[in-house]
Amino acid sequence: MSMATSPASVLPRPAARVTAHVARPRPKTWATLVWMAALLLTLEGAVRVRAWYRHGSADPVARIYQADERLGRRLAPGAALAGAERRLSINQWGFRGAEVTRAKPAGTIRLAALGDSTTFGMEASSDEAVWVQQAVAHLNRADDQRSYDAINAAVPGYTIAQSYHQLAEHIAPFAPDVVVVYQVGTNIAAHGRRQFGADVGQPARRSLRRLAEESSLLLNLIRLNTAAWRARYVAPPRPRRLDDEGVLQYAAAVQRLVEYCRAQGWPVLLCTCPRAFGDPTAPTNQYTLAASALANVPWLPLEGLNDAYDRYNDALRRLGGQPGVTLVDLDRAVPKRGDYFADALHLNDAGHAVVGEAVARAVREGALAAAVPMPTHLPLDGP
Amino acid sequence: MAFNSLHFLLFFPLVTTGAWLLRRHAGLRMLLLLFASYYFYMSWNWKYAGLLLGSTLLDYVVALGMARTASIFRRRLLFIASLSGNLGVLFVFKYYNFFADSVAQVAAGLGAPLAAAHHSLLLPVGISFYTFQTLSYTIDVYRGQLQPTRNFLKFALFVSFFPQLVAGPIVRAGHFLPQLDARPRFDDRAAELGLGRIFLGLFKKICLADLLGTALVDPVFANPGACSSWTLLLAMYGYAFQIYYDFSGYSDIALGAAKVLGFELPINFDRPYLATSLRDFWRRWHISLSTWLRDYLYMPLGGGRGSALRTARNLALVMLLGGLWHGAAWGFVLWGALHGLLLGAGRLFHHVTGIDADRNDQPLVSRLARVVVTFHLVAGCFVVFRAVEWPLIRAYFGTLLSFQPGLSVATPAAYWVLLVATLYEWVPRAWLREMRRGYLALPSPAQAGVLTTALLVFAAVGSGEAPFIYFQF
Repeated sequence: MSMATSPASVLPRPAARVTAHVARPRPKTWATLVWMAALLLTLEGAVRVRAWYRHGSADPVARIYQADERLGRRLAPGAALAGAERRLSINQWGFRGAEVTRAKPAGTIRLAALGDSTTFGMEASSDEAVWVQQAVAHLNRADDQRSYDAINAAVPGYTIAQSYHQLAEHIAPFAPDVVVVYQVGTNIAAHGRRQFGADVGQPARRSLRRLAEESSLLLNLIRLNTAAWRARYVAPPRPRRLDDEGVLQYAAAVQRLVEYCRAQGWPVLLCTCPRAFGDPTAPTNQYTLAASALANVPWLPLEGLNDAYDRYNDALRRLGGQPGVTLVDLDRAVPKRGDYFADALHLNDAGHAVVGEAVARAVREGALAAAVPMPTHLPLDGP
Repeated sequence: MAFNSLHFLLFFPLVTTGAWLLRRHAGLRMLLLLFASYYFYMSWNWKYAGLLLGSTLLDYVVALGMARTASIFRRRLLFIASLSGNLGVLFVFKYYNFFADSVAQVAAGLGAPLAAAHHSLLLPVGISFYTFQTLSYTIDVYRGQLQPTRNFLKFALFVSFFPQLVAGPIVRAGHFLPQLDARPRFDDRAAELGLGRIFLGLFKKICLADLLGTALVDPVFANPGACSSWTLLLAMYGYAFQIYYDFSGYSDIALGAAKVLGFELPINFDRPYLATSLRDFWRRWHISLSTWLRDYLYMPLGGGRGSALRTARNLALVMLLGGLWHGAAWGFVLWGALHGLLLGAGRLFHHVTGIDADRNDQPLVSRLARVVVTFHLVAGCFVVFRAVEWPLIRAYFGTLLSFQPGLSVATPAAYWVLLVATLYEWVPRAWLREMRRGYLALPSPAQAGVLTTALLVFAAVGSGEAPFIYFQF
């Protein structure tokens, strides 16, 4: 019977399986694609972990903003971020920093700061390190008679027009005594986008590219880190500058805000915008210093960017000469060096300290001594 | 949808995965690829998909009709119907406004001014490519060189296959249709090569062509009169390489994408700037168009069979129409005419002197000199192609030949990219083969590392989704 067994039945089955496996190789292409996807996800994840570690969130925008029908977006009350390099909190009213009472304590001088990310203190290490709080600390130390507090009503991405509405709708109930305006960068970006945006093929609002740029930190990091290289070595020399009309519109918007404040009897401090770049005596690293500004305003060359900040600052200097308005020339007060900036425009803690001191001096020596009719309820002389 | 868009980055893997999952169901696979191809086309403008479908239907019906009748008269009638239908649509969308303008100019020159009536229809993307592709099918069937397919799905996919739909290569039915009959077998090596070719195409497009455009060509052509002669010369070289790497990059992505899907498309470029004569150049540049023109225009005109003068005339005529194929403007006609004249002159020169510029047994110096001269002729003609408008062409060459100082808008990146672009053309084939072998020998994670690095470089260098130059044709 055993002789009747077919040869096939005695073949070792495992060997047959091994042969079949070898004959059909693993699809390497799919494996490569899977590896690629894994690598990209890992890199994106690593950048997000880094952002989370440093700033307390991989996506701070989603954490600190909420939609607003009139202003587009406002800061979300109660939001907070705590990272190794940055801590920030939004109070119950939607302003950066510690809580303030709506009713001003007797004998308190209240500052209201308006602006974009530079005033918000995007790169400051804590709420207390932002120049607004630094100015208050200086004032409290220097003045035994009165106490000072502040509302940092700046919102990253706001233009001067949005700040006007912020002031009229959300700050006025807090009865500020002095309004400080430090707001240029976002207006320059908006101006450039309006004038040149069509030339550089901005991605459509609902395109996948726009979605990727808005959601991938890796892409943003690459874009930011190549902006200086692109502006210096790739972009052709373009004698581009922002048109006068946009600068005049900005000046008119600032003037409108000033007049609103004057009608309320609030002295105004207008701050020119300091920047890390633009020092003609140190031309070697200008592109590096201006990298983040070049990334945000890619349609302007470095010369055009310098020219834009000079002209916007000059517009503020001209407005600073009128009654009830004190000019704080931060553009001249803060050295144009990387030591005071976290990037092209955002101050680091050292820069915030310089600005805080300059603003405090201007409040004491300029705004509170300004010859404007003060409302009678302001406790300028103490209780 | 462009190959260098994120849209394609999502679309292509989905279609590829679907197509391979359906490899045992030929009908469903074809249906998926057809649906994907129409989606690809409609993502640009859905309304013009009707034209593509109309052209497909016309040639499908005409080809079947020709196969069913023995009457020469009927076959000719059907053939004329296909020609008039396809070329009529092409004329209306691509050439009508140009024609109306030209008639109005001539009338004005004769002292009888006419108001040119224009239409405002968009030029459908890829219309010149798919029209020539379907026409080649009809002509082959008319000549009896090809049996028409009865399967409409198959024919529709041949016309609209998305990797080559909008900018070629212009594929012949005899090359493509048999691939649809064969049972698809996933070839891992082919897919690897295809993927590598897609990335090579993206490199050519993003890192060479687009950078040359941004850093050199666009600013120079925007105001050639203000530039120095040196800058204009650089921009002339720059555009020659920009259009080459833009178009060959597109072709590489098309070939690579088709290969990943299991199809082979014919190559479109073979180092054209190493050509030793214009004749040689046209054997290496946009090969699918030049062979189309050879087979369906030059040969029927008599080709090189008649006298040298007749051959020169045929060449000039074919190139003139080749120029017009690229665009409805006198600049393109002039570009084609220049190539035609130079080719015709070359043929006459060969006839009179007996010297063959294409011979490979010439000394190296002589061949090198021919390569340099041919490149300069081609690059000079491309200035006409890029400038299109006569005043710009005149300003460009006027300033270039004046040897005057002026603005130098060439950025450091322009010099580097020009250098890389030139070197890439001259890299020995053996080196490229070795590099390819080395890449294929890498394990999956290492290959993924190379490709991911390339993607990040593309993201860093790329300034958006710049359209491919040949999309406009």
